[in-house]
Amino acid sequence: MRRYETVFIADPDLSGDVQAQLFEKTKNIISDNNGVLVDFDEWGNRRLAYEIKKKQRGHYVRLDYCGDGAVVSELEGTFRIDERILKFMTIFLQDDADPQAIQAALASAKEKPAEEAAEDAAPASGNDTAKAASTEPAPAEAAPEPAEDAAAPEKDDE
Amino acid sequence: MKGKKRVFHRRKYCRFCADSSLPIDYKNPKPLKSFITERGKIIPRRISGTCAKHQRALTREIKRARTIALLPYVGKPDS
Repeated sequence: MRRYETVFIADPDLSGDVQAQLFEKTKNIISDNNGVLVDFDEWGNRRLAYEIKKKQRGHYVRLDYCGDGAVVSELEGTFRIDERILKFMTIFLQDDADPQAIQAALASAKEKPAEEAAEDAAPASGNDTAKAASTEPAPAEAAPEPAEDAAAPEKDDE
Repeated sequence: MKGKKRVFHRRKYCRFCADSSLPIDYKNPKPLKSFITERGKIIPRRISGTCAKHQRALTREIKRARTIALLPYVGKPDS
């Protein structure tokens, strides 16, 4: 079996029901074609770097699965037809993959990041104050200029 | 004459070799952003100093990120 990874962008304006149905359908496609879904990873709504079908945001989902070429062609075929999918991309990860081993590795890996995720949320923002301070001390030189301006018109009159 | 023309420049080095924890992955576009210009172009090796191996990986991942709309093909100059 081969391991693939498909990221697809679903329409962000779908209702919860329709979305659940769409995800169920894609999961079924994988299992119907002798594939094994290893990980169903929802990234949620994100801003797109460019407009797709007049949409600025998209609902990202990553599928990590094992199977052969039939799964991929079936999956991509339905994505291509489906109006609710804005875009998709499949990447080939590994040849001769063992789904059970990957699942076990993922399960053990997930236990660790649970602690790290909590720390990630805290450190953000705080660079703005340094920039504001550096621009302040400048307009001290402005004072002597008006004197020269006043002298100039007199010369013109002569 | 030779001495006068010389300008100071910092030694360039591959940031991925120096820091192996820096990920090159299209799913994580934030670190990739420092290797593209404001316009969205990939910064060449002669400027960023990245080694050949990592530049290849970087290019691949940036292009993947573009495909799936995580990075722009054409960026706006202000963003």
